Amino acid sequence: MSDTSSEVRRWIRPCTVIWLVLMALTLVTLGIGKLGLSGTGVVAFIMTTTFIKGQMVADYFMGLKQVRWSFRIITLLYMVIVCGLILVAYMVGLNG
Amino acid sequence: MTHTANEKAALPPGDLAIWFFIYAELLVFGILFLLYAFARSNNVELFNSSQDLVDRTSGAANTLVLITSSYFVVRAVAAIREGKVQLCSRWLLATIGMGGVFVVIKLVEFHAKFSAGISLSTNTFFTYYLSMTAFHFMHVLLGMVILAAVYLKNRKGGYSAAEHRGVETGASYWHMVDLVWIILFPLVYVMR
Repeated sequence: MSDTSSEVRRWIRPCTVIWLVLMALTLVTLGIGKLGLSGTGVVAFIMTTTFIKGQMVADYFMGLKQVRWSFRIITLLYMVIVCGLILVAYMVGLNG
Repeated sequence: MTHTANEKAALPPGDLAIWFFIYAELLVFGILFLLYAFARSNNVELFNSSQDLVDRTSGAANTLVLITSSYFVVRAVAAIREGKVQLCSRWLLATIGMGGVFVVIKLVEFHAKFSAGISLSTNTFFTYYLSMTAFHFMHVLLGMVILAAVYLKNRKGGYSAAEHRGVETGASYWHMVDLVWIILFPLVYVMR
C-alpha cells in the first residue's frame, strides 16, 4: 500500500464512524423535538450536541484537524460563540 | 494530503479563496441565528406556537440527507487523492443526488407552508424561518452547481492524485452548507 493510500484510509475510517455518530445524534434531536421537550437542561443538551456535531464536520470532514491551529481555531471559535450565545438567548427566554 | 500524521498542513484543503468565502458565509449565517435566538427571547409563546406548525420530520430528514452527502463528498476527495478518477466521479454524483433529495424535501415543505397561507409576513417566527431556510436553500443550489462543475471537469480527466485542488474546494464549500444546517435544524425546528 502506498503512503497516500495509507493516509487516505487513516482519514476515511474516522469519517465513517463520525458519519454514523452524526446520524445518531440527529435522530436523538428529532426525538427531543417529537416529544416536545423543553427547559434549561434540554436546551443545553441540544446546543452541546450541536457544537460537537459542528466540530466533527469541521475537524474530520473538512479536514481541519490536519491543519495548523491558525485556521482550525476560526471554526472552533465560531461554534463556541454561536452555540454559546444561542444558549444565552434561550436562557433569557426561559427565565424571562 | 501530502503531510504526515504528525505534521500539520499550513493551509486548509482546497483553494484558499474559498475559505475566506466560507468564513464570510458562516459569519452571515451566525448573525441570522443570533438575531433569531434573541428575537425569540422576546416572543417565546409566539415562537413556540408557530414552531408547532413546522415539519420536524422533514427538517430531520434533510439533516440526515446533508450529513450523508457530506460524507459522500469526503469519499470523492479520498478517491481522487488515490488517483481513482471514476470512483471520484461516482461519489460526486451521489453527493449531487443527495443535494437533489434535499431540494425536493425542502420544496415540498415550502409548498405545504405556502398552501396553508403561511408567508414571510405571517409573524416574526415565520419571517425568520422562511428567510433563513430559503437563504440556506440557495446555498444548497449553488453547492450543487459547484459540484456539478467539478464533476464535469473530473470526467474530462481534469483532476488526478497530484492535482485535485478543485475537488477539495467544492467539497469544502459543501461541508459549509452542511455545517450551517446542523445549527439551523435544532434552532428552528426543535429547541423551545
